[in-house]
Amino acid sequence: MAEEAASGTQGAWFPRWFWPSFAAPATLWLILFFVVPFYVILGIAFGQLDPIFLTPIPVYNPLRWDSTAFLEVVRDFGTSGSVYQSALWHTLLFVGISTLLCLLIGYPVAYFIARHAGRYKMLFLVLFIAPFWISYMMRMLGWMNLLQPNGYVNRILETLGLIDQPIQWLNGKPLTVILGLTYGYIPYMILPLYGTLDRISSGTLEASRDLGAGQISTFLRVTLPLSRQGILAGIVIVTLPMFGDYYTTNLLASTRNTAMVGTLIVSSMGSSLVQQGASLVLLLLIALFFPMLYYLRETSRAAELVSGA
Amino acid sequence: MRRLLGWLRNPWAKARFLWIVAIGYMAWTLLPVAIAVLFSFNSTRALTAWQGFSTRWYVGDVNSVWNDPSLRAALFASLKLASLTVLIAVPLGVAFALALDRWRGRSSGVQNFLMLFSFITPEIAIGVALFLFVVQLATTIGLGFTAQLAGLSMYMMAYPVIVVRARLLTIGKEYEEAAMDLGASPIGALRRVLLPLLAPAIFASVAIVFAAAIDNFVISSQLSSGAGDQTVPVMIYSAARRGPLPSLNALATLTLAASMLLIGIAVWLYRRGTRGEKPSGRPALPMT
Amino acid sequence: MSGHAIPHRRPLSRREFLRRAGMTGIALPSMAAILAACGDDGGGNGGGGGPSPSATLQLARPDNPVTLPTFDSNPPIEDGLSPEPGPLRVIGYADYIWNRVLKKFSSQFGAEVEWTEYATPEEMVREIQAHGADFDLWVTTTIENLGKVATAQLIQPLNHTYLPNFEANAWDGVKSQYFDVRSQYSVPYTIYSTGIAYRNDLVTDDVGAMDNPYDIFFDARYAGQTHLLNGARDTLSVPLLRMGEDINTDDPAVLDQAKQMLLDGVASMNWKFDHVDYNELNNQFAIHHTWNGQLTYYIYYLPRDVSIEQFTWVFPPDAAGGKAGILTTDVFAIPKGARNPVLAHEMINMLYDPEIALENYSYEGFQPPNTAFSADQVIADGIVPENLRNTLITEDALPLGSNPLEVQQYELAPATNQLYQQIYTDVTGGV
Repeated sequence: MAEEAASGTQGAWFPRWFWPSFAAPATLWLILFFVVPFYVILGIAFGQLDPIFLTPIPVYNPLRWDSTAFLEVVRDFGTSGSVYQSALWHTLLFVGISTLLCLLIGYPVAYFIARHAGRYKMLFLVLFIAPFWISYMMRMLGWMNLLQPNGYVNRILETLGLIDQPIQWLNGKPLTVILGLTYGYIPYMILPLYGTLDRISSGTLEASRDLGAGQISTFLRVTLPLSRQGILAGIVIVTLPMFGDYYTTNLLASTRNTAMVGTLIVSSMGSSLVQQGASLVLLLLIALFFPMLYYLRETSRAAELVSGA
Repeated sequence: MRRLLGWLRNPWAKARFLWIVAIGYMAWTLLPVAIAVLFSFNSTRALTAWQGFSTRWYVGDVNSVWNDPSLRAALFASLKLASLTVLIAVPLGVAFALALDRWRGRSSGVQNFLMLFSFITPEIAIGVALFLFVVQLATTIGLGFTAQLAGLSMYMMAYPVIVVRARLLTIGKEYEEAAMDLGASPIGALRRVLLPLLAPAIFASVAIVFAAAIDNFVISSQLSSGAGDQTVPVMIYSAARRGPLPSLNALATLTLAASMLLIGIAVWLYRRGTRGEKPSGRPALPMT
Repeated sequence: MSGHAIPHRRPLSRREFLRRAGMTGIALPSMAAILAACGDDGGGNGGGGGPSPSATLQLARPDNPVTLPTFDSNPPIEDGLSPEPGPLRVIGYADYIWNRVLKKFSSQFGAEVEWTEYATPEEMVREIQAHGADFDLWVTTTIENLGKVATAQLIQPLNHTYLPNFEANAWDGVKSQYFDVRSQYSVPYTIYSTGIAYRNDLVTDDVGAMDNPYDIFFDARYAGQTHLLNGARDTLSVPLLRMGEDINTDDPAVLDQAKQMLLDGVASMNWKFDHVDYNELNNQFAIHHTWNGQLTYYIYYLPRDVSIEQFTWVFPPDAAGGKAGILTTDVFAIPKGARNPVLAHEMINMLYDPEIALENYSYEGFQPPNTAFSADQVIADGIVPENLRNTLITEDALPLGSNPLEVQQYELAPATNQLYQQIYTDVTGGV
């Protein structure tokens, strides 16, 4: 009786400390290796530099923070022609176009698997999940093999008579980076799209048709609005990592014309510009904070719907 | 464009356009990988044209995975890192999921938010934060295997949390409460009743975390101290920027095989564990 | 395309610049000369109040040779110790000593060798600063970093009684150099030059006969096929040498001009910043600003249809135009706190053994300053092909700094260093 009275509304049979203690190790892990490291970033972005070695000297007391380096980075984004600004434009352009391509290619694929694959649905699902289990690097390696000047892509184009000179795909072409990003991240777009499209009951669609809506208007007025959540979730889930990508562009292009913000962040870590790198990370997180919040809110709402059902 | 319009006008017909798009998509996603695997069996060092079958890049050649110590070390480093990440991330994540599901305390919302937030933060930010953390503050950890393990196990904890919570939704509290009514201790109820029911979700988490850890690039690379702890993706990245040999493809193929094997086993175990049940709840987050 | 002006980042005024440099307690050459005049000139451990680590980092120049400060708290190891059990922990570039030589060392001293690789000297400095005691041997540091790591006591003085092969076989010109008088903290590993390597079948011009050979890097006919070395100092040296400026300049106006030249080049030439390797040799390669040793190393990964005879080497000081070029050295050092310092000395000593040095050279392609073998022997042994004979450096080029056209990247004041780094990032985008 005493035990029951002591415990809360949930888990009436367990002592009060029992379940919270289960969360403690993971919480500790998160604080140690997630929260504290981000505080170190703050300490470095607003800290000092060793006068001789130019290595950062973190300052952990917020009252002694110095925002000179951080503000300089912010100012540089506004300076036309600066490397920060050009990297920002590349990032926005590459991420924007790639996300759009992911959506344009991914939507029909998800739609097909959800509604038209019929008895092949399982097979398509397995094939479609496969890229999740294949290393991103290996997928890029495959393309690097194909895109060599004497690789299969150029040979096919030559055989078809579309080109007479091999195209230097890997020599700093923005197009290659965009295709690489699209290729790399599209499975993450399709997954939430498939999730929402699969959930639309065929009854809803039949009702729409029974009420006299044509096929286009059924798609535009029913299917598309109902899959809005999946589209938004897909966009967020694809753009978040893309904004931090540096390896795709480094592997497939690696020139100034294709450098992204992530490239600058990573290269600054090995140089004397660590403060600038830390500031860039902060700016990236500030820029992505609201999309991240939006995504978390939507998914937790979805989870509540599921648990309520 | 006309096709697209045709599709919009007539999505219910044979959906020929959709078939073409879907099959084209599958070919586009999987063919480059298949070709990368194929080149690992190439008989010459060419990575642009097929020149005959050989296993020399696996065993035999000086630069083969078996004979080149740095490639062997990378394979070993990947397997070690992924296994130990599983050993830390899965227990922590499962316990966390149980706690959040069975207890709604004042701080559980914050903890849950923190966990999910860590999961969707762009990896580059986490990688750089951890790099600066071990270089500037936790210098006793330093760059290297320990740092990689700490970082990955933190980042990957969310997978078991999501998978196990989805499973917990379908289980309910009745079983463990019944067990305790029958005199079981809290630990006993957990061990004898809840954990067996969660086994399929735990197997699934093991497979997901292992596969994600073995493929992880950003965190493993940012926290690598140089040789010895360079995992396969890190090795592929640095070698691909220099001059790759088919042995690199062989290395990638081997890790691919390792994660495929594990996933196969996990799927099989999951099916066995949930046989005869209704379909389980949908994961709260799509897998990333 | 190159017409549009790209505004530069807040140019640093010269006064601001000097103020910043002054704040850090750096002794610029003129000041260093004064300090040297009234400071300790003798050997030993500093004598009357040796300089404190942060007070005087003297920036060595050929006309201002520096005896690096020694400290009572950082003595060299005692004479006559026996080698430790190891393992010998080495920090250095990937693959910079031949594996076979490392194996020989292991079997001779019964100690394994563990190699931690870093891509740039700056990263190594950082690592030594953070975890110096985790390493026994540093292969290699560079002139531009040696002063600060010695002054900050990150490395320990060498005990030359363990280095009889160095004393016996090293070129006289490297036994005492301006950046480390009497080799107190360092001995050279390799001597190398930076010049122009090009495919003579793809580049029709005779680069060696050009008034300014550096113009070839800016020749639009070779856009997309021209590679420059990465790293702030090496990349910036190209426009500076082309303009005939000092590659160590701290003049913001000159550096700004150099930056403009690089930005224009990036736009019109689509340079790649890297060490040319198999992929590039196979595909997109015509011209490379590179090290002589890297060119001879090409032999090992040439594509099947390309022979080393298709390459030409131009070292601008030797060429018609009489432009300056980089001739410099990579040096060994032993981190302070090394747990196997005797083994580290033994490794250095072993690499001055004539046979080992030649064997290692035959793989690395980078030349050790060793009297035991001649240029003719190196050619005869096939280590360097005949058509690349001019990559070889002869003893008469030493000591470094004796020929005004053969320049080195000196240690810079930190603020200048930062400026170089920023320009480099601006130019490359960090790739």
